[in-house]
Amino acid sequence: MVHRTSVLLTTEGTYPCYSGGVSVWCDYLVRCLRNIDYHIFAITHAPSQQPRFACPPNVTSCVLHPMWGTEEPGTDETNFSEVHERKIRTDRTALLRRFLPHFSSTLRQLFSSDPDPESLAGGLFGLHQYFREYDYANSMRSRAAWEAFLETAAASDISLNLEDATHSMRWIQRYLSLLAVRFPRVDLVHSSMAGLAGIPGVLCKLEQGSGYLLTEHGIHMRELYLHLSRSPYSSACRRFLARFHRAITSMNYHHADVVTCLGEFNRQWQIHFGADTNRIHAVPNGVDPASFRPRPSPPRSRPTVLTMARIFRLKGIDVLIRAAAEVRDRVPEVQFLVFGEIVDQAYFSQCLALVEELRLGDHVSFGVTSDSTSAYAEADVYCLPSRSEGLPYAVIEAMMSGCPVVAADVGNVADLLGGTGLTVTPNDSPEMATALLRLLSGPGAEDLRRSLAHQALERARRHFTIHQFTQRFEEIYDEVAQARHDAVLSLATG
Amino acid sequence: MTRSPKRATTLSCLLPPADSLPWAPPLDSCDVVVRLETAGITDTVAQREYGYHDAWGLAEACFSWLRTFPASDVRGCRQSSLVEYWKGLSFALPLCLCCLAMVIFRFSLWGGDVSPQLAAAVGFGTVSSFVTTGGVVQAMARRGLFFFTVHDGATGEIVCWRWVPLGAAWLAICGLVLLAPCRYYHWLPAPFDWIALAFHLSLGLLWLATGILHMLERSLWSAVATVAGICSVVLFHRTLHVPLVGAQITGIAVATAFAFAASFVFLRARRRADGGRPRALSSALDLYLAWPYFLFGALYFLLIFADRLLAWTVPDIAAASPVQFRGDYETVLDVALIAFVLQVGGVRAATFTFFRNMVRSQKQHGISARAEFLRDMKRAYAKNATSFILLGAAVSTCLYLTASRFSTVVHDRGGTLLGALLGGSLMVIGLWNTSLLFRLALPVDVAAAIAPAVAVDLLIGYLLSRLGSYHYAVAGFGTGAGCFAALTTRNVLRRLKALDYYYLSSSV
Repeated sequence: MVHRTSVLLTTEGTYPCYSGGVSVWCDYLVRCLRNIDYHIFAITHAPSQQPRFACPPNVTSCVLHPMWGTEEPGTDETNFSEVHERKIRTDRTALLRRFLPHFSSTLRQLFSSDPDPESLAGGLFGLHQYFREYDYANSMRSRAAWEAFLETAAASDISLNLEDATHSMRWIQRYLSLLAVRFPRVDLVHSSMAGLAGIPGVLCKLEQGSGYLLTEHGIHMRELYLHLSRSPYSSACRRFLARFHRAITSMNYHHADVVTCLGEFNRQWQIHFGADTNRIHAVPNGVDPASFRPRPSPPRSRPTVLTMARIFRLKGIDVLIRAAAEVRDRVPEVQFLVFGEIVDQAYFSQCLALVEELRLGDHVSFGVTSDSTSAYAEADVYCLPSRSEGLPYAVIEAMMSGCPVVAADVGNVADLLGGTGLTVTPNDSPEMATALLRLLSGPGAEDLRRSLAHQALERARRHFTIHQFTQRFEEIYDEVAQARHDAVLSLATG
Repeated sequence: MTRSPKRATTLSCLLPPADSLPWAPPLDSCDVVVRLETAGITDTVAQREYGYHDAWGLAEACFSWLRTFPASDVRGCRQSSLVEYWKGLSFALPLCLCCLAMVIFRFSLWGGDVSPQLAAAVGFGTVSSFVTTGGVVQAMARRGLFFFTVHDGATGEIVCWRWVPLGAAWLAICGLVLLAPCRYYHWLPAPFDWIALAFHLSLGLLWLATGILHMLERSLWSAVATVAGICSVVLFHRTLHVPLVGAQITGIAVATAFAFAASFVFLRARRRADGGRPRALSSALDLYLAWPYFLFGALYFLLIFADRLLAWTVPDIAAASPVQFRGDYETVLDVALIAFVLQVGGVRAATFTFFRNMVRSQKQHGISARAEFLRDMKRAYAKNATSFILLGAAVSTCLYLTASRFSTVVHDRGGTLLGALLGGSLMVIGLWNTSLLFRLALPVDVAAAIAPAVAVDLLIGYLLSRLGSYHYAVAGFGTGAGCFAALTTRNVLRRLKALDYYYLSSSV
């Protein structure tokens, strides 16, 4: 019988419950690599979250692990008799002798400004083993755990007050709940981010000797900093969160056999946070050329600029709106179509207010579309106004659809376009307007559009097809699995 | 050497924003790089416009002066203690409406100016409906509230509707179990035993429905349901000349239907607002988490009503049946109830203020100053408890003097009123402790306190009412309430020694 490689694909806040680039990437991966048996472990926000993607037959199991909204974190609430047995077993002796040593050692690393990835992994693995027999909620909510936390916090250079300490301990209680999960036996773990979703990779590697592949689209720490810069938490809480995630991230980088990134921009960040340069491979995203291809564009009455983006601040929709006002002054019949799910309602309201303020009601419209391929065909220009990106799918789709691109020079976008589109300084509406006007008005505009679209199409077909990226991952799976097999063999033969 | 950015004034992207969104100073230079990049200052821009090799260099230079900016003030929602007092009081609104109906029509949704035997039947049915459904309502509300707190309206709705048939079944079983000895020992002669059963069932269902509304903080709709019920009684009894008992059962049914319909609408709205799918529920987990609340709910009403049951069942040769409604005793207790309701409103407000102050105090105390924090909170508790004692004394004195002056019944039964007022005030202290312990997710502490309190209530009340007069049953209530207040106070004081820990472990 042919051995089928089994992969535990771990996600956090993405596939299969949320939309967005990482989810699309996961969906492509599991659909295209049909000879791989996937187990999905998805960290979700709440138990009420439901899958948006239907899993193909080669997905043999899909476990959703809610981080919040459960009364008994770290337990399978539907199998309470087993939980109850573990609760009874979790007595003071077990807490003091078997839980506290691992918990304290983990805490020391999480609070440290220079954490040791090996010690952290050892502590987490010890806790993982402990939670096979004992109850997670009773242990993590024990007074012994709280005292250990306070003791470690007092010894650290983060000056938490009691409220900060309460918040921080609650985060730990929730974040570490995945240590109580029993993961399937797999050949390798493929984590889709370097944060909490990477922990199963480390645990399976230590427990089963599984291979560990870490793929990052955005950079976990970078996104965390962005989140914290506008978070309502105290400085001490933010400092603790940054330390916690930095420790987890560096542990993941340290233990991963291979780390993949989308391009040079992300690679630099990964190196900064401790990833080994020799283990980093760039694997750009790809789309299906059969779905996204140039189509005869229907006759249009108005020049159209398309933006496909979920609506929140980092997507820079406000920058686009300001640029639209300048374009409208020169091309009065222009229309800007923004298609995407509203993620941040408050930000969306600000955008609508800006549209009204700049009297762009007839020129800017928001909506969602289930037919993105037609949307690209109907657009004259695709515009990406983002403030932060990895390797955006929308730009690849636009290139593959033969739609010329104007994009903010963020993340790996310039590498992605490779000169086949116009890049502008991020957050700079006038520069964006100038670039858009180059493609929409004036004598050479149509030729420039046609030329850029052609070059972009060629480039996309050469480098960014779904086939290329899935094939590359299949190769990496084989390499990692083979290396693991060799390691096991060499251990067995002494 | 650190040099100032060339055009520091143009780096407004790094400064606190003009909008009301929260802003925090950067944690380190990495944080600054991220902020610069998202503001469009990439390596190229940093080199071209600011003269640095890359964004990292610029970030290093900016970090030292940016870290001195204070974080923007994030204001929490301000909620008034007065609003909390009103919310705490609003549960009694239906009761007030019933009292008003009694004054206007001489009857209400249940009870009225009726024969002693009918009054005994109605009273018996009413008390048993409270005791039977009290536990179910508490358990349902606690489980439902958890899901609503975590914005899981879909599961919250299912949980509520799961407890309703359970509660109805429990109500029917208890009703039949009570009917058997009632018929065998002739506690209530036919058809009064059946009337008692009818009130037990119909009122029990009404409590289940209004329990959902109270949980959803829609107590005003409970009041509307009560008004609808009273109007129906008036219509059927006064206009259509249906006998009072029939009209009242119909009125209760109308109120129940209205309350269930309102519950359905509000639960569905909550489900829609929260979105998501309901989670798989474990009955075993439900029972594990809900049993102390169930026990408390049932025993609480037994503690409140045990003295009445004892007073009504004191042997009386002249009485037509072993269960004899005591009108004078009931009047005195109703007067004491006013004082109780006025004080209970403060429980919610005091709990709200206590925890608001606790969070403030936590912010002011570092980890090393934990002992000071705990001492402060112990003081805050003592201050609150003293306030309740003073409030109880003030309200009770006012009510005692006023009622004694205007009611001869009350004047003649001054001792009973004093006992009931004292018991009510002690109950309020017990409830304040209960509220704190529930907030700290320590329901077992409450269940462990109320069980002996009920035993004391029954024992003292029984002995004194049998050895002396039925009026002495109130002593059972007074000592039971005192026991409840003392035991819950002891439990709270024990938990206050590690309040920070219990507060942490109460989180969802």
